[in-house]
Amino acid sequence: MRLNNKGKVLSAVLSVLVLVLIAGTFIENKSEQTKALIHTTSLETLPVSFEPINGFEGSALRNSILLAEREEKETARKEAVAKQNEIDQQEKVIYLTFDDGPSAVADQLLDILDTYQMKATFFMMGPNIKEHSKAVLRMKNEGFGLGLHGITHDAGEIYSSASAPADEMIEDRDILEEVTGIHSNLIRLPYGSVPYLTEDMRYVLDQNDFKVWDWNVDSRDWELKDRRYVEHTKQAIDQYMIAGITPVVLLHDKPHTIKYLPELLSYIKKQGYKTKVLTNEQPPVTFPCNGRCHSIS
Amino acid sequence: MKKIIFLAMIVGLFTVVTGCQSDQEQAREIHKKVEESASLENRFVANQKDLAASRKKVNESYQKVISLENTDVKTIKQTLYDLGISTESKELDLARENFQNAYTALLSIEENIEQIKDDDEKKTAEKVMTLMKDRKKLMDSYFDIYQKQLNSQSKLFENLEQGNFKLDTLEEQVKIINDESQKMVDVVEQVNQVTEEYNEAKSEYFEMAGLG
Repeated sequence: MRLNNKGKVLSAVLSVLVLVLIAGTFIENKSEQTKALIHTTSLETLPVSFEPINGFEGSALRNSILLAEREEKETARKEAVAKQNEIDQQEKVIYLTFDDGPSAVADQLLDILDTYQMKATFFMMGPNIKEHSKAVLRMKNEGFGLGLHGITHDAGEIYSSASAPADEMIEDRDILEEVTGIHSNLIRLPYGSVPYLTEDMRYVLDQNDFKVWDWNVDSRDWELKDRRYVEHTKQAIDQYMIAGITPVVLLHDKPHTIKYLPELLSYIKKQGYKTKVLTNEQPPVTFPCNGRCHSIS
Repeated sequence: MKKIIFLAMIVGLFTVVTGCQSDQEQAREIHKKVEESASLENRFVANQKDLAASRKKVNESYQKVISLENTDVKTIKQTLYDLGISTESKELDLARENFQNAYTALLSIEENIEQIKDDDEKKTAEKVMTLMKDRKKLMDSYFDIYQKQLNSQSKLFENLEQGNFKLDTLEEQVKIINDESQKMVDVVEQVNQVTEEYNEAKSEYFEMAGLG
């Protein structure tokens, strides 16, 4: 049978369809086979177990190293203080220090010191520096010593952690530097460094270059609040001078102190003592712990 | 004339059929390489377990050392000597080598991907490739930071072993090691995230290619 053109096209299309069906079946079979074989391995995630090496702070090793370093530093400090003392004794030097200022009567205090041509170092509170910045600038311009006394004057706050004393002093130092341009490392802890300034706290203060200044003559102006502090201080100064120890006198920027200050300064002048300011370079007079220091809590 | 028409139709049919065959062929090739790489990566996985065990040992020795005092120099020295700090470094080098081998085995899928004709399949395969490369970059970072941490650890233990007890130096070294540990944690989280995405993309591709 011979086909016409239409017939030819139709048979061609039919042939193609059959071939496609056969091919499709073949592919599907192979796919089914392969599906049965395919398994894809998932990659594993990494374990996250990079623990920090904990426990150094507060460890026996750290504490023993801290104590050993503090002992070494304390020995060096005492030697340096002794050397400085030799130099100071030759000139009959006294260091007058005033805490808790600057106050509203700071200018009056400076006037009195100027009258007697005497120098002193002021351990000042940060908020007070801000409030009486003019007085602080006057101190700087007239060559008085500028030191730091913290921010809160609250033992509960300033001794609340190993870094708390340093934190307050850093803030105070920044305030002083902002007002005067002076970078002072001289600090005095409220109520003195014993018993609450622990070795840990001293270490942190050391790391921040601070020099902890205490005193050896307590004028007791904070306690007596009248002329009696003058007599007490005069006697104490003389005793230390006789003993060959340079007096570092604790006073306060308070009206009752300032009222009787001329009497004290007059005596100092009469005795031929010379007043000087404390500096960053000087080894500090610090109360040694000697096992007495402990946490406030 | 009849013969020409018939021939043209056979050729056309053949082209369609072989087109489908080619993409699947590529998928099979890719699967083969992926599985080979995964098998090589098992060695890397085994290395991780060794490294984890070493890290544990190091931490135990460290805890023992810090429980002693600065005067116990002999015991500190002995503890660190017994630890054998360099082991972990060697294990890390081996892990890096095994991971690299697994990655190298996988790299050649790029030539297979180029052959894929179906656009969607090709895109998905390319995504797999990208994730694979991202994972490699992160793992390189992981190895580098890990090595840095081992170097820092080595310095710390050297100081302790030699009795160089300068407090601020030791504290600084401990801080550096812990900072690096945190970086490790961060990079591992990223690696794991990309690994999961890679596994998903891989499954998606093979399913698309009719193999999954």
